[in-house]
Amino acid sequence: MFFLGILLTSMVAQADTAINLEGVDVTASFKVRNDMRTMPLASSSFYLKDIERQQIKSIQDFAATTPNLHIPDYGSSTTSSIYIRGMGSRIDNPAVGMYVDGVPFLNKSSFDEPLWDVRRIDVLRGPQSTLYGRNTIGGIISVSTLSPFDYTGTRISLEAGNGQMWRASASSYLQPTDRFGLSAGLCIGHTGGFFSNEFTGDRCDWRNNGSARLRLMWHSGNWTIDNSLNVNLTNEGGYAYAQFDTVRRTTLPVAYNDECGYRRLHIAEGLVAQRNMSAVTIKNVLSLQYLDDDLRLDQDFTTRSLFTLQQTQKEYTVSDEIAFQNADKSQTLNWLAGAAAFFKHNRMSAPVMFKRDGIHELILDNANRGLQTVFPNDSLSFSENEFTIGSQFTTPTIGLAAYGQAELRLSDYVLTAGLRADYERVAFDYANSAEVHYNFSYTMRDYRLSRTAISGSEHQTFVELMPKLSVQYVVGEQNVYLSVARGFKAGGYNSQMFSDILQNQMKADLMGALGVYFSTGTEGYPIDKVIDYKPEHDWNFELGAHFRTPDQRLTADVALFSIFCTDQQLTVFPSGKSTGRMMTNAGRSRSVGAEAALTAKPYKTISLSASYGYTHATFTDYNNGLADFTGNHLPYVPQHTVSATANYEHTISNRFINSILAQLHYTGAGRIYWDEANSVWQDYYSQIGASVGASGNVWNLQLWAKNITNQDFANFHFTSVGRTFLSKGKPRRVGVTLRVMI
Amino acid sequence: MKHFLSFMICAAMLSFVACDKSDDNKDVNPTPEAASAVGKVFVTQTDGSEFSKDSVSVSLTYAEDSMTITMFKVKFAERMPLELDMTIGGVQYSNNGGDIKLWGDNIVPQAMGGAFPKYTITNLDGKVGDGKISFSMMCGEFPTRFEGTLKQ
Repeated sequence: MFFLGILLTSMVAQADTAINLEGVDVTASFKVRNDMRTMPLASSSFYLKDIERQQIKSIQDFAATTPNLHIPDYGSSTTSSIYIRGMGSRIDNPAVGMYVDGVPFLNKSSFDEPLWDVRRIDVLRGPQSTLYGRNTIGGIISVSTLSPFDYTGTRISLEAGNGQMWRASASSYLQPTDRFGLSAGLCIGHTGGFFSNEFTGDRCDWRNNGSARLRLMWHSGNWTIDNSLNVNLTNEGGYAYAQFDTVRRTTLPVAYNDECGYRRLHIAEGLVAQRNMSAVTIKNVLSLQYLDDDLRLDQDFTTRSLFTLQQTQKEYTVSDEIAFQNADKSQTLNWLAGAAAFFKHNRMSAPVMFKRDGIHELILDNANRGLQTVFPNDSLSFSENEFTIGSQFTTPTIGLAAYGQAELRLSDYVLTAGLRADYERVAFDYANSAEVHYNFSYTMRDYRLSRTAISGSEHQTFVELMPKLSVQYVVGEQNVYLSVARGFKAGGYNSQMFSDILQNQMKADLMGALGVYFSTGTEGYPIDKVIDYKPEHDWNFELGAHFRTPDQRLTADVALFSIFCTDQQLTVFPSGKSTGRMMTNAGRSRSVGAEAALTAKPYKTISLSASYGYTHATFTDYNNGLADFTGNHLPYVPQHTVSATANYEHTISNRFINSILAQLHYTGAGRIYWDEANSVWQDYYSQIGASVGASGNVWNLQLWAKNITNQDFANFHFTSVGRTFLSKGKPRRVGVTLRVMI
Repeated sequence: MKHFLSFMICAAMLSFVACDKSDDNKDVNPTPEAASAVGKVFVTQTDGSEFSKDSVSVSLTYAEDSMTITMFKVKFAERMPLELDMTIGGVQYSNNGGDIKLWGDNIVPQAMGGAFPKYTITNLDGKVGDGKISFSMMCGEFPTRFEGTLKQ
């Protein structure tokens, strides 16, 4: 009702559709300038116009147009794996930091939320740990939504497309007084999906999503207060994971029998307060977040009843950061200092249910193969058709940080030096148990109970120092820079391993109770060797330049980088018929590459942009105990990322139509290796998109298409229970979008 | 003097008798304490060859009238893919001042949570003493012997 009230009020209010797209945000970050091209770093920025024309509706969409940024669509919004310049991670701590309206999202399960009414997206490439701290080893993604000080009026968007896709959003931005603004919006959407599960006959990748946003802003003289509340609810189906026949190199249909799905509620409340004083500006960002999600997986992704996972987590996060900077930016010496703290409490339940086929294939068959060489007519059996390995994890994490950065201007040179100290303590309490009733037919008449339990508490602390140094040579609009910076990604614990750990312990306990020991080994995992992983560090050396013609019709950005990474955290699937995934510190790796971005406006009606990224990321030292991968490419990292866009916009003096527009869009990525052995990969693939549209005073209409050529490609590969699976990229999509701005 | 001498002889004899009575109260064949040993098991295969396995642990527990031998992680053939804990209960024994003799026949061993009639123990014969243990037996069809050293 509140929202409708605002909507109706705004519709009768004076329409003002002027959007301050590239203006100064009153609560912009201290850490970057509005025009990032004047800074000694590599970045890409997208504004409302680009975002809407290119149909950027998720983090995967803008990733495709950013050099050396890769965010594959794994088929679920729970898995946001982001790779920049070879730095990335699939599970646990992200390699890239995510900020929405200045609020840090500390759990990457909340990264993939619908983008709507987004004013600006910035991607900072390369480690940003000196100013942003943990988990920014690859860079930063910052999303700024429209605020009532950017825009006043009401925006309504309706769109529909194939795959039974529709999305509707409505938001109203009001500025009742010069000092006070408020906005409220709602976005709901549905996708029927593109891939069918042959077992059920239904689409598996359906998705329902709803988001609400409320923003209150107040500024008066020296004070600015910005309060934003974002709520996102998603409920979606499963994963279009198809088995890959490695011998014939063909992909089988998606077919699995157990339920897959993901449900998430994420609430993020951020309060930004800024005080401008004569000598110093102070800014404080306080955030509270709640994440509640529920992941259900047919973990074998086959039509057999092997095993399933239901993982639920509840996470509470509070963070606060206070920063100070000198007010007069025309000084020779500018400085920035701050302190930050956060506390995150995550409680996760991840029971794995072993079903009939799984009990036999993963547990009993191995045991009986051995037993039946001695007792050919007898076997070990369980009375249960299914049993559950219960897992409870509690992970409280606390972090404290202090940082400072100074910028010295000497004639045409700008020297920047910064340092940050981070302290982090992460604890891990685990309790896992399973019960089965077993019988060995040769010696037992009845079933006997076997109970296995593993519990314990661990913690680790680390203190990290992250320096940054850069020198920049500035001549007018042009600048060249050389920088070196250190980044770090926090250490953590392998909760995913516990199903495997307990399963092996259960086998060991069972055999121990029987007094039987196989020569192949039934020992449990050495928990202390698989449970934790250490922080990851990198040093980034970068040479870059930003060029712009005086008339601003041509801009060019180039960067060369070399990253040395130690203790790189990599996901490894343990060998054999194991069920868990584990993070290991892979030794060392090196990533060298180049980035180039170009924008041109050769004619008044035509604008062009193109970008290219090259990454050569290889292990310089990695032996996982089974094989030596030194010299191999890092998995999941595309070697080439290419993007090109051509825009045509023709202004018409017409009573109904102001302009017509057309856009052609190309993206490409690859080759991407899927494993450390580099035995499987996705070759370079291209996608072409296009849109045509028209706009009037208060509306625009756009017909659009993505992946027009229906390019067949894989965006994920993994191995489970000895089988190989691929996730295919989305096929051709077409749709229409109508926006009304009142 | 003669009476005194006779008295002393009688007293001495009584004291010896008393001493003998005292020794009678002392148990010369007590129930031995539980022990464990490590050694080697030898199994004659059906083709006449001999299989042996080192570092086999054995525990010995005694009751008043019988004892139990448990062999840990033992296997009886090279190609046997698993090792077993096997318990042989109801073994007879005699203790002669620490020299223990073992014997038994028709004993169904326990393994894998129950009885193992297929490997019924016959002709068990062995001894424990001087820090060593050895015994031989028929384990089902397989002539089997164990030689080991007692753990301190």
